[in-house]
Amino acid sequence: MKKPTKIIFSTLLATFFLVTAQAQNCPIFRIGAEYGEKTVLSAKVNDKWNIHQDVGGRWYDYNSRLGMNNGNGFAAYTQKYVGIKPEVSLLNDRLNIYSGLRLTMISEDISGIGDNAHFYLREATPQGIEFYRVKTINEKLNYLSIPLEVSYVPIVIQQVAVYGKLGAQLGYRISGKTSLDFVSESMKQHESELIQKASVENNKLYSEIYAAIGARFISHRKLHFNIEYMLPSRMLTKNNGSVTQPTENEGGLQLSVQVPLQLFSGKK
Amino acid sequence: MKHKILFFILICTSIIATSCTKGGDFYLRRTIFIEDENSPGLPIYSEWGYNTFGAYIDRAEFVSTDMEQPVKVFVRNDSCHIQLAGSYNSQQTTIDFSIADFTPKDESELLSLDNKTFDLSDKKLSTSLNIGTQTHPLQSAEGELKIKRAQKLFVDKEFEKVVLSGTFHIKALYNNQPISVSDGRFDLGVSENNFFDLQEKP
Repeated sequence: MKKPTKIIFSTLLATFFLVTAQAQNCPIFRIGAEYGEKTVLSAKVNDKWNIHQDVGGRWYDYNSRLGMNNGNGFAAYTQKYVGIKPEVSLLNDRLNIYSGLRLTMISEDISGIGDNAHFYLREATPQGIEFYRVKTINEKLNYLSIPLEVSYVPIVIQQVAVYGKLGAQLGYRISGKTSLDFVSESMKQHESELIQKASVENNKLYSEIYAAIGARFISHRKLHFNIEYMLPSRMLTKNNGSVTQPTENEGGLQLSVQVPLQLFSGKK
Repeated sequence: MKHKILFFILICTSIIATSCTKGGDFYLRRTIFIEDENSPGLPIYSEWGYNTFGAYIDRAEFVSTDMEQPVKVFVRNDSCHIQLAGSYNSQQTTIDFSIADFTPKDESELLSLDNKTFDLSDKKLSTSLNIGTQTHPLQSAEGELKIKRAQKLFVDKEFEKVVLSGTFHIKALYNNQPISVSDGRFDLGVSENNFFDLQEKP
């Protein structure tokens, strides 16, 4: 197990024991919702797609994989998630532990640059070389995961807190679709055949570890409004995308709101 | 009157649409140069119609460029000429392989060259080299031209061109000086745009 992974799992384990030890104190329970996005600067094309022309990174790259001066498209990777987030707060709201259910939506694209642009998907056959003019290869994957996060607030100034967070999540793919958008509609009949020939597979499991730094606005009723900068995460699983893979990741942004459960019960 | 205008527009659109496809897919005429790590300065050997060729003339590279048409195939005087045009020592250079008694009528007939090897000691194949403004036949030549693959290329199930891929090497006298053309490779598309039937009609 690599060092950052060891640190994160050790922290989560230590937190568990701390929670147990603190069980006699009065924790605050909250329920909330989150939305997050990962910022991917560039992505590379999965080599299993036999593409004739160069499809470089998101920023046009003359010297990328397939050669020089022939970049005709770009590869993109986006990741967003939404979730419900139960929380238990300890140590006078300094230590917060989160879990819940998260839906992670991954979208990968290879597409031509500009209007009416296309690239060629190719295959060698006994009859010769077959080229298919393709505008876009797109894949959408949805994973349902269970995150486990712990955050600590070292600084509170009036109603604003600054905190650091460590987390991990494990998910399972609940749906996925790969599609090709052809220049010629009559080629659509070959879509399944070409996807099958690419022999691409997606991992059904999704797992990563991550860290974030955040700022929190605490209302007088102890609602938490959080905004976090997610540092680049480390993927623990591979092949979570058969079309493109991120190569330059700048982390991401997460917004969440946490509401104390006692508010629902009418207690102050 | 409205119907006539509509009909006229329909006819024009059909003509434009047809003429747009006549010249073939423009992007496939371009060169995709992927350098061979084992032969610096030369393109890799491929069979995908990358429109490249390359060889070492003595120690310097002779390669296809982005600007020039890398290959022209023309039939003249009962011979088929495969002419490769590129750059050598910053000079415009062409090498011509002339196959005697082979007179294809169009590019499709080049498929008969699939897996064919021509030995330069056999009179069936002759070569000439043009460096800059100097054109000389390659005399007392030994070597071979090997067309490993001649195959059709289809785009969206429609025939686009013939792709000729292979290798060559030559040792000869050029302007009475010994010259070596080595590590030659080509992967070239031939369509109606660069196939010429210049045979005199009876």
